[in-house]
Amino acid sequence: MTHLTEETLNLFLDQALAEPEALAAQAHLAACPACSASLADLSLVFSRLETLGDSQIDLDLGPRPCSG
Amino acid sequence: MDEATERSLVTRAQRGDASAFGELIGLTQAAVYHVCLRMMGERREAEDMAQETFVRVYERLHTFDPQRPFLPWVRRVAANYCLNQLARRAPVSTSFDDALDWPENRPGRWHDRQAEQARRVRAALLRLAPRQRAVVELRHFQELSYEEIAQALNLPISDVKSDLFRARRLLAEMLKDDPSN
Repeated sequence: MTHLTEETLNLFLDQALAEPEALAAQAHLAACPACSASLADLSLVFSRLETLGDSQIDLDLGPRPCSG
Repeated sequence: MDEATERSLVTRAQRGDASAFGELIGLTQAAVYHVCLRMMGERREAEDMAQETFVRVYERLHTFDPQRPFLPWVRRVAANYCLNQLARRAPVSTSFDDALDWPENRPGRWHDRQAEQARRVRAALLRLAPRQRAVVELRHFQELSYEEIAQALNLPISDVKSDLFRARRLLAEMLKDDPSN
């Protein structure tokens, strides 16, 4: 079995594959534990990055151009 | 803020209305600060970069199309500015500890497990090369397409993909031994 490339896994997660390629990748992932594990590792990166979203903070930044 | 109000503020700011520009800063500064913190890793530096971002935004405001959303443009300016600053520096080996003033290190705002995860991710992000970090910022936090990132950073799409995919692989390796997985 030919495994999915790193590029295909990334494009799959970015939803950047054309529909036929996405369906083919999905079918392969359903049958291939190795590629599923690689996808899980990459998916973890996606979910972990979400922890660094924009939280509410108190700030007063930026230049305040003088009026007049 | 609705789109019409934002357009009105941008148009007034473009005509030199300082209070309108001040309002735009107030509305976008937290998002800009977070871009800078993810890129630079240190609170004071992130604040400086955010301030410099608004200087650049002010200087380029006349080039901005008020029909487009303002925040995505400002966040792109911030990411680009931070990348340019990082690219000028010699690489440094950075160590991270709880003393750094990251949002997740402030007591009482995060659950322990969530805070620990966020610290690990932020530290991992800061170990990436500056351009990889910028590509991750633009893709994951600003949700730009490969083409939009290429345009924002003036890079070929092939380089964007290569940086992004390599960055994700490195992050996956760094986060794999995370005990909270």
